[in-house]
Amino acid sequence: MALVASRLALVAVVLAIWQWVPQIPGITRWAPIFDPFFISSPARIAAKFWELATTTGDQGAVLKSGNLFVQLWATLWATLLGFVVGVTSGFLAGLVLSQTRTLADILNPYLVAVNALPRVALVPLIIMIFGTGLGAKVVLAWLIVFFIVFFNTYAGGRALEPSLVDSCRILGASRRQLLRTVVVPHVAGWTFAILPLAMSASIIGVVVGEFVGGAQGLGYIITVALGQLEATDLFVALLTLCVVAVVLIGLATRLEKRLLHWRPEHVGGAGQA
Amino acid sequence: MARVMPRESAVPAARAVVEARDVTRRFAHGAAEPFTALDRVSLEVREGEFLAIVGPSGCGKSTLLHIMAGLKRPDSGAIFVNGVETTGTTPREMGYLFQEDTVLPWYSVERNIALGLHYRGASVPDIRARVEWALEVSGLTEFRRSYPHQLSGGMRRRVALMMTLVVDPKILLMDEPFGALDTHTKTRLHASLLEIWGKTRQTIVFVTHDLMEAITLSDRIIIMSGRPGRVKASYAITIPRPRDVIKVKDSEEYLDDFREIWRILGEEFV
Repeated sequence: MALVASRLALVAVVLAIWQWVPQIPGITRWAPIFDPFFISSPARIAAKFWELATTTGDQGAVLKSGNLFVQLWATLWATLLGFVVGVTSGFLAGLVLSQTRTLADILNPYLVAVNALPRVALVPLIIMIFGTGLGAKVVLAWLIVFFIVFFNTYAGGRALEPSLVDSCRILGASRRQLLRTVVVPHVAGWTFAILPLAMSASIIGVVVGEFVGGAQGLGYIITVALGQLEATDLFVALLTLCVVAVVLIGLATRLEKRLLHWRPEHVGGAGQA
Repeated sequence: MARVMPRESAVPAARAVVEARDVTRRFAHGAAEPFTALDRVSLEVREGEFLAIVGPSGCGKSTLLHIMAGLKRPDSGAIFVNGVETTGTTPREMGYLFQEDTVLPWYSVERNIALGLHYRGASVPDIRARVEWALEVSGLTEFRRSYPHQLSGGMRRRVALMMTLVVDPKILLMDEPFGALDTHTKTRLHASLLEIWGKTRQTIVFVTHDLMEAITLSDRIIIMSGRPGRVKASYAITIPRPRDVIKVKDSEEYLDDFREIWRILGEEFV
């Protein structure tokens, strides 16, 4: 209880400083950062948030159509798509390459090269190919998520203990049974462990895609707000994005714990000597 | 002095179930010249016998077990199981308990124990009955739905043991299976193993560096010399069964055997 109270108190103090310190006469001469032009104010942000969230249609400069939730949905949907496609393909590629040594040896230098290239540098090319819609955002998110998941899954696949495989083979497992009961569960464990990180990577991909070539989404609001030097709009978009990210990464973390309930670090105290 | 020489085993002259014939294995050690891990090793394991193999570390005893199970190939020599050459392959009637933890962490205790039966396509009622038996004899019934990480090291070893025993292997190879456990847990597992084996009576080959363990459990001990690994002596343990794993260590026979084998092993330290 005391913890929650302290946290709330902290928020209250920050909000109070944010709201009232800029009103001290002459303060911006000492500290230009307190100019509401840069930092807006909690009251204005709340009012703008309410306005963007409740009215539909043309909302002047920042939103040509739809309300805040339409933009939020655009970002959310692209993020989930990028996450699912990236995790699935990264898992499959990691599984196959970790189990076929020759293929991995052939592809290794190219994978390293593609991974070394900053993904953001690919944005113009992706927009040239996929336009400015949903496709480009998802492809960008996929490219980032894929490599994170792939490398972790691949490392997991290579770390499979030979004794585990030998033991099950002696018990009578066929190649198919070995794959289903030993290799896939082991490799998937490494994939599941990286889900929260994959989700935040997907968010980065989508928002960067919206910065550069978006016509919709929270990243798009941020760029428009910047173009018009509207700090209030910027803060509305940032706070909404923050909530979206916290929820999505929280869900990914819960999914990870659910899927990896057999791992020691997720025990609920059922251990005994 | 007479006891140094191979004695007759307590197990009556039964036919050889597993036979290693002139098994040689060399290892290339990077750029260094290859060393011989096993040098023309020959031995016979009789039906229903509990055979222990002891020797200094690096004497190739684990390698020999790997070769018997077909997990490694010898450079020369051959393995026969029931008179048929099986070099490089694993016969279906063979079970193997690894030194490493081989319980699958993503399955519950009962799922792990049932694994071999599933692989071999046993019927559902058969699987159920066998798993119940395994849980019962190993004292794991109340932990059947637990996951391996919730169990202690000793209990995970019990699960691993039952995973191999549940498919009823006629030959069981065990590679330092209790090496990582504390003395107390180890002794309890010895008692369980002897109790279960008293009923199932498969042929067991048990590799260990723990001489107390070898004498407590086995009918016969093969003593190996190190680098190159060779069979140095075969020593019968005639302590009557059933054995009490605690009391046996206090008996005259046990102490005599211990002293004698210790002396043979001691020659290796020079």
